Amino acid sequence: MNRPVQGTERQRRFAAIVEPLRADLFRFALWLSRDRQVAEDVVQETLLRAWRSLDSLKDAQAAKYWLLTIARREHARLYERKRHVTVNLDDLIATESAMLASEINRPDDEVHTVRRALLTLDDEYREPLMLQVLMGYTTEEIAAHMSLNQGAVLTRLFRARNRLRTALGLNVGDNDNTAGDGEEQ
Amino acid sequence: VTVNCIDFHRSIGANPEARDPALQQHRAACPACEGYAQEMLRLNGLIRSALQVPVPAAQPFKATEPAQRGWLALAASLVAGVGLAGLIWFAAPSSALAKAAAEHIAQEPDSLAVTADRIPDAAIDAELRANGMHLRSALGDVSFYSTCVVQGNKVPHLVVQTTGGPVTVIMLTKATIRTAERFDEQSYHGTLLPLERGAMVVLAKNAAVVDAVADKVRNAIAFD
Repeated sequence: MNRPVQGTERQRRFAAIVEPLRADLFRFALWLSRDRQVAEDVVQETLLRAWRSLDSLKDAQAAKYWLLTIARREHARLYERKRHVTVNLDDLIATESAMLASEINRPDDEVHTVRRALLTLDDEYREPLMLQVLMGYTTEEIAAHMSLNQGAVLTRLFRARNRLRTALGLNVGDNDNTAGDGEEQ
Repeated sequence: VTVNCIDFHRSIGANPEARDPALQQHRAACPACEGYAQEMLRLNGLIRSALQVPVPAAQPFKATEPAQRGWLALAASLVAGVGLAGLIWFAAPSSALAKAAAEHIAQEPDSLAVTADRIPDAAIDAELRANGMHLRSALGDVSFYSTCVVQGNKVPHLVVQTTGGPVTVIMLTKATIRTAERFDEQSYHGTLLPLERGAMVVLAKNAAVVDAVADKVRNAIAFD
């Protein structure tokens, strides 16, 4: 059941917790969805649900983990909804990839190339990589966030980088089987 | 612990910033792995830069359902079973709206507690603003406020305490009714009122207090 509002003190606490994390929240949603509109919807829905469950957050230090967990759930819900209207998912991804890649000014630089390569990674590889590199999550935190064991997380992280190296023409010997341990089937 | 080249690649490939002493020892003794580690650190920096896409200016936080976009989105909602409620909402006879409201408050019995607790008008105003409304005059005597889902739409739900008992008000922001109507539904007495946008349902066990609260809320709340 919903709790009645407790007044402006609650609003101040919410703002103090959430505002510093809004950039992270948006980037997390954008890289999950590869769709700016879905990302903005995810952010709004996440804020709404975070507001309503603010009292459940006992430790402000855990706010980022709490917020991104909500966002992941909301993304799953909204993405499923969007997928129903997508005639061809590949077309969607191509469109959104072009949109995202066009946001930088120097299309020939390495960052642009890596960004395009990131867009081609499967979700299961891109998400743990994003959580580790962008959000600073430990392997243990990623495992909890994605409901995986730590071995599976390490395998996905290795494979994610390995596939990026291949996409960037850097891979000279390693293959995914080098990290065959730990991944769930 | 001895680390070989495969172990090293596996560990550094998963986390280029790992500082395990055994990894450091292998790295110092193996030029190939030293090169791999440097390459992975550089790649990690590029990944970090690539992930840091520009972030748009923060949108105001609105406690409303994200807007559906176009008929395709509506079709998606239909498939998901969400939009169906919205269609019913628009097309529903007033009696269905009254019934939905009565059923909703039956799910939140605590909201109807007789209590001396009051929510400050400022807090109510902030909540309403997240729903495209605001207070233009004092409301007072509100003991409960929540954004609730009624027939698939997120709407403001508040309870006003009176000397004749609590009165529930639900702002049906997406409903359309032409004229005000009175109703009796599941032991509640109430009224449905058209608003500038949508409608408002006001209901209570005590019929004598319904109209006064309806007038008070309608006069106090304005749309942005």
